[in-house]
Amino acid sequence: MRGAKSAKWVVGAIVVAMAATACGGGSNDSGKGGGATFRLGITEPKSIDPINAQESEGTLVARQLFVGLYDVKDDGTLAPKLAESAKPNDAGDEWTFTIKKDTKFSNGEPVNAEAFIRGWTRVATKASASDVAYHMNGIAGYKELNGGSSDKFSGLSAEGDYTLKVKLSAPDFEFDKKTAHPAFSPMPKVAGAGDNKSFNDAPIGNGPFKMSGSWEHNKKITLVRNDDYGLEKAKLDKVELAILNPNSGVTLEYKGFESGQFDWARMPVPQMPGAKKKYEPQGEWVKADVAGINYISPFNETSPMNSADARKAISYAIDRAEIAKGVFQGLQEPATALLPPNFKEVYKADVCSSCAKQDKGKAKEYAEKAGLKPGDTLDFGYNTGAGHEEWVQAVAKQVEDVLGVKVKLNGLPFKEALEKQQEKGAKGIWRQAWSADYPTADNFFSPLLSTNGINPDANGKALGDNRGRYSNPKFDELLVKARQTKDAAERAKIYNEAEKLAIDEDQAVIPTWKRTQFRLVNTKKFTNVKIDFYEDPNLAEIGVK
Amino acid sequence: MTELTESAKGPDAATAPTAAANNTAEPAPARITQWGEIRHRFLANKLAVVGLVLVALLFIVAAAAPLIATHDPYAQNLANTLQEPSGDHWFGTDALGRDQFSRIVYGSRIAVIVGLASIFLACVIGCILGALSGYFGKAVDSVIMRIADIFFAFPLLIGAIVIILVMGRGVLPVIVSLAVFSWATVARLLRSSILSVREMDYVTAAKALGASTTRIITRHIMPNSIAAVMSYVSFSVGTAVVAEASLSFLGIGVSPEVPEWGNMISAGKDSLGVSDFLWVYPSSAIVLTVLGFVFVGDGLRDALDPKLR
Repeated sequence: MRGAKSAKWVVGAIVVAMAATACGGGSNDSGKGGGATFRLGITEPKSIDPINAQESEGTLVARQLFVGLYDVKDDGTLAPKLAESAKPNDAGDEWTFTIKKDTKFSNGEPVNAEAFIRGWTRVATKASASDVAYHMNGIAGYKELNGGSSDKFSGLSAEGDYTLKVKLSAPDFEFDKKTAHPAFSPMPKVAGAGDNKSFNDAPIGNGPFKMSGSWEHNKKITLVRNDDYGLEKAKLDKVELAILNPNSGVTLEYKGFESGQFDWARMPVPQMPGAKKKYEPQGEWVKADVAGINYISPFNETSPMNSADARKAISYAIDRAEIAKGVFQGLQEPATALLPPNFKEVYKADVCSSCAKQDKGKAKEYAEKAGLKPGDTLDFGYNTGAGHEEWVQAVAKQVEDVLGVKVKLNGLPFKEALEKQQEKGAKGIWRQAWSADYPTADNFFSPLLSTNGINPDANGKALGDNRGRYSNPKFDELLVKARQTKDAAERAKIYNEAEKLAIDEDQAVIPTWKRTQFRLVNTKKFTNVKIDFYEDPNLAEIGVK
Repeated sequence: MTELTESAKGPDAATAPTAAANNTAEPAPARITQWGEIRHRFLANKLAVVGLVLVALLFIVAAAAPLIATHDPYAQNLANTLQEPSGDHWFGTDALGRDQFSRIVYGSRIAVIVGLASIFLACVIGCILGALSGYFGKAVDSVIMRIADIFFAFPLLIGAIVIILVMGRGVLPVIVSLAVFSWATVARLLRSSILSVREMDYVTAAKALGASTTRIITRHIMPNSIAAVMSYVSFSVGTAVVAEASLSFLGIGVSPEVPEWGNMISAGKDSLGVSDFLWVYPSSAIVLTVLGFVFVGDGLRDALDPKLR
């Protein structure tokens, strides 16, 4: 999970709205009728080819065009797709997948073990320079392939047409869950190399939908139902994805929904209370706690946040409930753990004792123990233009009022903010948010809290996603142990222990709010529309009235 | 018109300006000073007076902010957020329950400080360089004007953003960055005006009498060249207020907890159509301030223009 390039950092975790200058979207000829066409607005994806699909827009399209071994249900459990069975060996370092027979790509090529090996190799090959290749770094031979010293993925092999064997470089009993990521899609021969431009823009896959024409950059992407789909076929005839200007995307989506141009929309946060009032009675307002978390990350290595007591003092000083109600108008809920509630197998509420409720007395007590004195300065960084301005001020004020310290807010554009956090000797606290790639606790703990997740370069710059530089050998050991544990319940216990250690005892990070998402959906025409695990509409399952 | 002039002028100047204003028959008997005439022409301009009143109001509000504000502009009250304007909160409360009226009142301080300080700084730099450039000409002129060209090449906001990213956020970096990208116009204006003034006979006379260069520049050339700069300066204060608000709007000006108009508009922009009071009041404050300075600048230009004499 190297992932400095990971797209899963959530820039605008709470508000994605950026500008309000928008006029309600141009011509509206598809506004009425259109049969079973589902219309929504997205922003320009980086890639829709699984080779580099990363942010939710790109993975939304890639997941309609391709289907792999597994998908994730909205409750975080695995839904088998092409995998008929998945068996790890006793050591957990070799997996055998049996693939469903006789399914085809939409050009007629068979989907077999070779197709999977082809697809995975294509992603991990050095020449592809894929930002999502690191998801495969646990497979044997990844280093050689991604480093360029080999053009074969030595860990992958086919036994007959429909058995895929995967050797791992270290035991991992949750490897099957990782394969739900679109990077693990099978590929037809026609895909060719990673830089095959015509395929990148009009991938030929095996998913519930296929491309209608090519990706019209910055304009639109049109998908039509794949009637040769090997699993349960989609009910929608067509999906039209309009590509909107990212600076006003959310507002445009909302206006588009109001004018009948879209069937699915996000909305700017200030508009939410009004929209809820208007659309909830009609059943057009959907809500989901999704696989992400908002938190504050203290720099564990440098004063004043280099003691667990100081970090606890900050956490106890925050009145999460008051901010949730006053600033977020009741639309966000306080978090009491780092893992999101939809990781059913491992989620435990109230892991973080200091998160439960504001406790001024305890906050002061811990501050005193930590030597955090009234008048001391605490830097509080955040990225600007993503709607964080308000709540960071509320947190800053509460911390100032309770502890008497001076909180210095430091807002920077996202890129500069990232550099500032990576700097050697960075101090104070930062606002952070993280969203899951696949439903494993490891996808949170390993990048965000493990020693490997710091990934410092020669100059002491922290390139990894563990920006707070938390490092505890005991925690690292627990992660390794969890990966080597076959029994799911047993493994969940170890993860619970690890979370308790890092989030409660060490207070490595300070959870603030759950990641809750809201969408408007057209229920007059469509049924069973849900926010899926990746915060996208469940296009393949949507029904038509 | 007459009434306005009557009330505005001092008792001892009573006859003279009225005569000039009527501008009918014989020339005024009393001696009219240059400044007296300028003041008179300025006050005769209704818009200029309106502008002056707006600017005066701004200064009073800024100076007496603690007396005028009804609440602490920093005091959050999360149990009372996004309240519509009411008797207790005249302009409503923001997303953190802070009193909007008090924040706008305190916001005038930043507007005044940044507006005046940045233009004062720009004026000092611009006047010195412009005077040197205009008086000496030749190589000095070329070098200074080419430097000015470089600064002209940067759009004000882009240049300011770069400086702020280097210096960090805060009031001082905003002032410096705005000054750095405004002095070139002042220098240009002063230089061109000096070019014509320095050829005047009285300058030659002063030279012939053996006056020093400094004395010639400060006593003879500057007073006669400064008119163009003065009206520009008044316009520019308005521009600086807008630029400063724009920087804060973009999230790189002063810190978001500081009561400042651009910050307030930025916080209210997503509430378009929902809680319009969040952005309407601070926007109006900016509009009135800028109008005030523009009217004053307009009036000054007309009053100072010797061709109207």
